[in-house]
Amino acid sequence: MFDSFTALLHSLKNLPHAFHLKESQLTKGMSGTWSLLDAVQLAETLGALDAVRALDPPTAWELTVSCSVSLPDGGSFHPSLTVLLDIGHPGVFSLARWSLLFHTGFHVSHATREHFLNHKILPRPPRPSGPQSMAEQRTVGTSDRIKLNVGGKLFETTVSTIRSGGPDSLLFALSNRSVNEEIFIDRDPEIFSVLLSLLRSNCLPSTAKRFSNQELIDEALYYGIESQLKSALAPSQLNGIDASLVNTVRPSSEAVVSDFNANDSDGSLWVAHGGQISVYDWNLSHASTVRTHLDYITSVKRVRPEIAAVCSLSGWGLHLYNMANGSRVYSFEWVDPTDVRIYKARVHAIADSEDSIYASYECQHGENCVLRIDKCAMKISSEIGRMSGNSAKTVVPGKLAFLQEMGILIGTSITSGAFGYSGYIRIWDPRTRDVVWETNEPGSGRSSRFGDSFADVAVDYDRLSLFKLCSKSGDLGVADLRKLSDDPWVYLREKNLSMRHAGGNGGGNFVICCYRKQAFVGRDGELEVWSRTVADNDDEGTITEELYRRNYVDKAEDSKRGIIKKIEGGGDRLFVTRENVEGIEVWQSSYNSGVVSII
Amino acid sequence: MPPFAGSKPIAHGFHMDANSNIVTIDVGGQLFQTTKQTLSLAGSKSLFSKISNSGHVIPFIDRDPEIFSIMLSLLRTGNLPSKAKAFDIQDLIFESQFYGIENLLINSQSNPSQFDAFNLEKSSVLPLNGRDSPTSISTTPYGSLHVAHGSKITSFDWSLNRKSTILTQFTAIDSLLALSPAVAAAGATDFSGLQIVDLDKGFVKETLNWENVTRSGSTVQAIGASQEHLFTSFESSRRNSNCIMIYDLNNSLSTVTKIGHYEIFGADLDSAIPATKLQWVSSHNLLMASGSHSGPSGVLGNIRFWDIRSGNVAWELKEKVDCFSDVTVSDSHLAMFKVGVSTGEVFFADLRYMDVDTPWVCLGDGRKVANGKKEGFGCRIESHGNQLFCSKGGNLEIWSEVLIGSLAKRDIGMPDRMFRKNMMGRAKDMGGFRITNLSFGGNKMFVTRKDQQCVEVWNSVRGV
Repeated sequence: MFDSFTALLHSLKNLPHAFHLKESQLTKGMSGTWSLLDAVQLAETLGALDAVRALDPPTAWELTVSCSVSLPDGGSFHPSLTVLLDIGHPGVFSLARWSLLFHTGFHVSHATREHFLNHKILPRPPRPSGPQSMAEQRTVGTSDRIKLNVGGKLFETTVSTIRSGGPDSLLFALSNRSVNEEIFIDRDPEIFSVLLSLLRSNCLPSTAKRFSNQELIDEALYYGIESQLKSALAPSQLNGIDASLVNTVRPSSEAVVSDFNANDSDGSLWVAHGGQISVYDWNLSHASTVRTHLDYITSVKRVRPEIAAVCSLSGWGLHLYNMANGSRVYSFEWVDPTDVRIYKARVHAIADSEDSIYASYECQHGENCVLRIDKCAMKISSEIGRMSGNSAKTVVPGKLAFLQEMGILIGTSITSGAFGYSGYIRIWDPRTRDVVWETNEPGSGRSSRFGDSFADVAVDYDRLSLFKLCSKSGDLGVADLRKLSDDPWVYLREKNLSMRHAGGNGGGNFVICCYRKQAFVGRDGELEVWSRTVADNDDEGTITEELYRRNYVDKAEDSKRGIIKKIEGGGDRLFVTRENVEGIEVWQSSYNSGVVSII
Repeated sequence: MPPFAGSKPIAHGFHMDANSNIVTIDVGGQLFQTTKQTLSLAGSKSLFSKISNSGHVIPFIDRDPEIFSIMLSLLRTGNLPSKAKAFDIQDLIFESQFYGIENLLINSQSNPSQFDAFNLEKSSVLPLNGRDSPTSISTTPYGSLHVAHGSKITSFDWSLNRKSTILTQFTAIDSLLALSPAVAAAGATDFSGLQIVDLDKGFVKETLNWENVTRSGSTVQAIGASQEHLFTSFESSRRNSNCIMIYDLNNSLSTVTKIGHYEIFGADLDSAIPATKLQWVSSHNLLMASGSHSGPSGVLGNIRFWDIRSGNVAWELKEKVDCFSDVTVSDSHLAMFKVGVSTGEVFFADLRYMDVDTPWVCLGDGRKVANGKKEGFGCRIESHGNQLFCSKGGNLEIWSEVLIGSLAKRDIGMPDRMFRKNMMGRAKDMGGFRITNLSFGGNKMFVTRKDQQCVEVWNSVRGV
């Protein structure tokens, strides 16, 4: 009965040719499969059906239709169709996100054979009944083969291949069906062949280039194999000595980015530009943009998969926006009932941990502290390191980092003035709220490099070390966070002859960021990387002067684009923003040689 | 996933004889027929050898049938069909690796026998990341390429489609030799020891060192290899001694012997020159070691041919006038070639008549430039196949021997060999930055230039 619908459908699809249908064409149409979409199309074309019938065609399709289902009139056809579909499905496909339903009727098994085989089989009686076709099926040893008819193209594969998408995928669900049936999926066969190759070999074939990444992603989502596609499309591990500029993410308005947050967990990029937050997914395609109440966001941090924490130095408070609906969900201000001067405190830095958000607040008169916000209760839970803000040692931390492994909060403050840089690094234990370790520069004279205060500090989360960039010499100092002392710094020695001239220009614009066990440094417009060699790549042992080697990431012409403002890594990509330059540069490593043909 | 699963009994309408030579394979739903002989070409380790023994059932392989048809053509003819152009070479490589027939693909695509010196065309450029220009390049016979730039080594596979980069301990690698597509020997003139580096996995397999009596460590000046041996020219860090170490390539690089050990006392300039080029001359079973020194009195050099078994010098050439800028030995010509540093001319010396006083014969017009200029400075000369490639500045010359049947003259001991040169490339390829390295592998030539962070690939063009 269902098959006659299919036959009807196929004849309707080829409406002008419907009258010339031959038996074999009908058979072909009766692959026993059809979808809701087909049914909808059928219903839509029903209006035309009357016209077709009026032409008085003694054709095959009409014969089929009339013998199986008495065609209802246009009004009542659609509902009855739905009922039929419901009967046809014993509740296997309950996943609502699938727009299509699948129905397999009795199957002509030979349709998947090669063409020369088809010729042999087609002349047979086209429509065996169920038991007959079962008898004809070869049951021995076929248990893990599966046949798919995708948009008319036939594929044959194994159940294990099709199940590699995981138990939640559509393809897995299909594989649970009787293997003797050919499954029809009304999707584009070309994209499917790409995805099938992906499942078979775990890598994308070159034919994938015919489709945009977004097309592939949409299609993979449909089949439920997006994780496979994601791992095939993801960039290879970021290797600073072999990275190239592949892309620039440019928000469509106010594209000079004030801050951004790259997430290593899912590869997404959260961008603050002007008063807007934009989210780019792992494929760096735009996911959403939210306009906040702030005029100019200075810091953005993803604190939950859908929630961004933002703050502005021109406004006050920390604000949490839900990126899904664009609404402000929480706001946190620093208040002290015993001190009326504590109001309208600005937030300078945000750090995120599994259970808390840390934000450094500063009042108009300089008094400052770090507030810990409990993520579950969404309440301020404690106040850490309250300071007067009278001197460089007590100003608000401009950078916060939370180190999950050690459970410590690292705050740094760097101010630059007429007499050079000054600042501190302070480590708190958020549970006791005590300062565990601190260093001031220039200051107590404990530093072996007096007068060469740091210009930027970064935390290497993977190797539990602290990097500082000296403002005058441009040298890089490393400290092991597990062995902090009065002067824990080891200053890395320049070994690369070709880079002797670089850096140390006595106060430039220095930025440092650690990612994938490498330290990326921006000196004005130049991007360099400090990494370990193949000979001492293990994490054990103490840090020595010669452990890290310095190399340029960029080419000379790249550095002319502007002063590097921020570097951050996420999802094996390195994101770089430059002063007053629109967009975020994306640097990636690739195993692809990028060979350029010049013939 | 299992490569092939759920084998079917013979399909209806297919009469299959167990003894028949014809094998039917079902790949992703398409049936292919071939013979056992064809499948056996894939070798015993490949997937196909299992298939041909599958007996009464049609084996099912869960792979893409379109690429399989190309693999089958490759198996049948040894060449890729033209429809393979619809696929990236990378697809074909992955698929051939799956079926275990990558060697056939390499043979058809990057075979050294396809190297056609007169048909080389600048075809592509391999970009290198970072700002370091390549200092040394080395190739395997089938065209895998290793490039040293700064302290990094970037390694390209034979198809030049995939690369990987590692960071070595050297500040600048001066000598690089590819031992296999994944392994290279690297050394530097300012860093002690020769390192054998696994470029795939990124670790130092071994560090080879030579120490003289003062135990001061030694730097690597040159690396060479024969089928069995790895040769390394060491100079002690204090630059007061040098030697050539020979390691066994087939026996975990154990030391075989040491030759040409010189300890320098006083101002004996000649022995102070370490070998900066090592080349194995298989036709004579000798190791060519050359080195030169530029001093106030001009450029001095020596070329020695070592018998590695006895550790004796078979021939030695002292270069005092118009010393070589670069020198190479061509086995196919039984000759040695050099570029003179002051004249910039190409000279040749017949290896069969080495005992004469001045074996060098100038191949150019022989104009002597005595103005003290170094015309040949930085010129490179390499022989490959029957040709000789010589770089002058940014240009490349190709020298080939014109064979004229005048055996009579040779019989009376008169060297009668004629070499003629051509400029390589089209007008647009001429000039450019000075060529720093030349290397050959597969059907390709690789060229690096000063201050260019890339490798030029010159390909032997097939078809039109």
